[in-house]
Amino acid sequence: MELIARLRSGDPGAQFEAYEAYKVAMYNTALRIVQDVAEAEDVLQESFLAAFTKIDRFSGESTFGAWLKSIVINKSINALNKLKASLGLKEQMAHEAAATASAVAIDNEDTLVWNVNQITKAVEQLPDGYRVVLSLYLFEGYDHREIAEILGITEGGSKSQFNRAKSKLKDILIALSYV
Amino acid sequence: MSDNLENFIRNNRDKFDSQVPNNQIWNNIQAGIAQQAATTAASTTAATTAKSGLAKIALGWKIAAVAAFTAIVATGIYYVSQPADSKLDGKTTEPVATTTPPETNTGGTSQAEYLYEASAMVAPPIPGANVPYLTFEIDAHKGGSFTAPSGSEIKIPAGLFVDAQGVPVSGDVQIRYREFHDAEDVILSGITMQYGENGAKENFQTAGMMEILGYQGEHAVYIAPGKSLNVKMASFTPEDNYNLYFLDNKDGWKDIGKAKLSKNKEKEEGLLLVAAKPRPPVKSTSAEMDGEVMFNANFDKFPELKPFKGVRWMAEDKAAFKAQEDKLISKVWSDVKLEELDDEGLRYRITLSHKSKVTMSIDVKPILEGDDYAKGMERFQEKMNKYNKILKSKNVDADRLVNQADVYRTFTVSGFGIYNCDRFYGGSPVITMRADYNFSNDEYLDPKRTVIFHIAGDNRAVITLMPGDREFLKYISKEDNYLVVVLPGNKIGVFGPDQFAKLNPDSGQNAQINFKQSEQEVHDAMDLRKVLGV
Repeated sequence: MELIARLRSGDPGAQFEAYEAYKVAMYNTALRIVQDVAEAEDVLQESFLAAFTKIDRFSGESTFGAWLKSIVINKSINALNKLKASLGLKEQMAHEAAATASAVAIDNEDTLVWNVNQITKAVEQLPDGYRVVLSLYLFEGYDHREIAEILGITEGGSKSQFNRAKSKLKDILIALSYV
Repeated sequence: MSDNLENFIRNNRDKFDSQVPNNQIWNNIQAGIAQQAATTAASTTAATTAKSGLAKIALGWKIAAVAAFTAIVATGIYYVSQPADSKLDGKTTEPVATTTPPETNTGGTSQAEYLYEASAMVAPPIPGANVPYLTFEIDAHKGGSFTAPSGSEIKIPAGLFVDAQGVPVSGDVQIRYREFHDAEDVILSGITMQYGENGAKENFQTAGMMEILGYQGEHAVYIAPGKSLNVKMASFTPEDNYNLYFLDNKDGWKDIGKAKLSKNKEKEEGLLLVAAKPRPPVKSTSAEMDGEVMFNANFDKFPELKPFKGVRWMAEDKAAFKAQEDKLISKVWSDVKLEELDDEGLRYRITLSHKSKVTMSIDVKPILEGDDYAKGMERFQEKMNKYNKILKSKNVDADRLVNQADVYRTFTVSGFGIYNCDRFYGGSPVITMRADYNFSNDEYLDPKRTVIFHIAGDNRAVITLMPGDREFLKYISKEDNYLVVVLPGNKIGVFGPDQFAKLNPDSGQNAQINFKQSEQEVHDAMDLRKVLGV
């Protein structure tokens, strides 16, 4: 029997199989958004729990992995909002936009050399709003229309936020002397 | 950042997933699945009173996962964690309401309670603003009862609770309880008011809703199969045509019959008693005042009046006395009675009668002079203090009783969760207009995603307008209607009755819904009522 059918029947073996297949990717997705190990583990746990117990809501129009990822991302954003109780994510985005409105365009990028660890550390230092949009676009593969739906912002807002995030990321990389 | 960097990330995407989660998480997930299976069983029991095997379902999963179960439940409880403010031990004690800590309840998407967590049925829209729980502690072995400030009474029999494995619980159990009586409570709770059982699509108008949950420390407890507790819920709506519904976390509202309606006799009788206020004391009257009653009697014939010989009297109601003074002094009365009207000897009623059956009475107070006057004033002050004390006590009783509901709706609960006394909202004539919703000057609102709440039905119906429901605005013009939208920063946008009154359905034009942003932030239901002016 295929994995989805076994998941629908509540087969614990299938659940373990799915968990093993997706746990690392989903955990890193959550971690990039919430930037907190304990919170990311909670998100991972709650997301798999929701997916297994509400498998009847999985329509099959996307892959199980894509559906699971949407759960992880929604829960991660909710968790991030809880962590940032004093300032919601969207409000924070507005502040970040104001703070970097004069960001300078980047020159000579072809001369830069990148590596995974450097970029990971720089992404960690991005403000929340930037990091979320950049993660969703670059790491999770969503387009701006989808990001707009997830975050409750406009598509144009997602694009401009992404552009600002790019500038800021470059600034951080320069500041860390990684370039 | 260039395409160069974007390409680098995309080409090395897998290398960015370098972190590995804790091995304990899988155990927690297993335990959570078992927990949800048990919860579903408890909910089903509540709705249908079916004898489902709570223990059987729970035990069908790995009991070994129970150790990890704490972590899951702790997460669920975290957002509503509060101290046990009162301990009952089988007796009623004064409940204390504690608000949900705002710093831990900002998600806005789930109630984080174990029954409805991650359920679309409960989605509080305003971060940090919700209806607080009352917390009571009950000895599981003895049972007990408690009374909420609204007057609701919850009776819990002995041995009611079991744990997730169906094992009877001993020791103290914390009961969390809250009520929702109007649209503002309902909106903040995020509890759906849409009913869709058997293909129906209706909106509820509530006559009172309550949520009751049980915990022992961080662990959820359940009502044992076949057992139930009794709820006598206060209701501010006296009509009887409301059914009782239970909120299933998966399938929504389930019609489970009808609550028994009864009057709140304590309120009815108590207010009558309170209304019988004590008469205020009368000040001693000094001499030489207008309205003096010249009263002379044959004290040999009326020896009981001898102590009053020489006492001068003053009419309490001087105008009334003046009006009948001529009649009073022109007659020779054949009988006289002097009746004391208070315990202090400061108010009397003189009743005079004549053989012709003519009777006349006049309320008087003695005119005290010299030492008598000073003593009279002293007694008056004592009396006044006593009077004020009684009056204050009665006012407190009145406040308490007035805040109580007029009726009770009584029903049994065989599973923890949310129960609602409702009827389907409706009426006529219904006005239908095409509508444009204008969220001006607010870049954070995406009209395609924003939920709008329509308050109607005597402030007891909440209709959730999702983006797909909004092409036509339907409302009953004779009611007070409000459209409410949640804005960032705990603000709300309101389109109220005054704006509804200006809509012209005959114009052939779309209704322009221009929301007015509140100045005041909304952190609880009282704030929301203030903003709406209800």
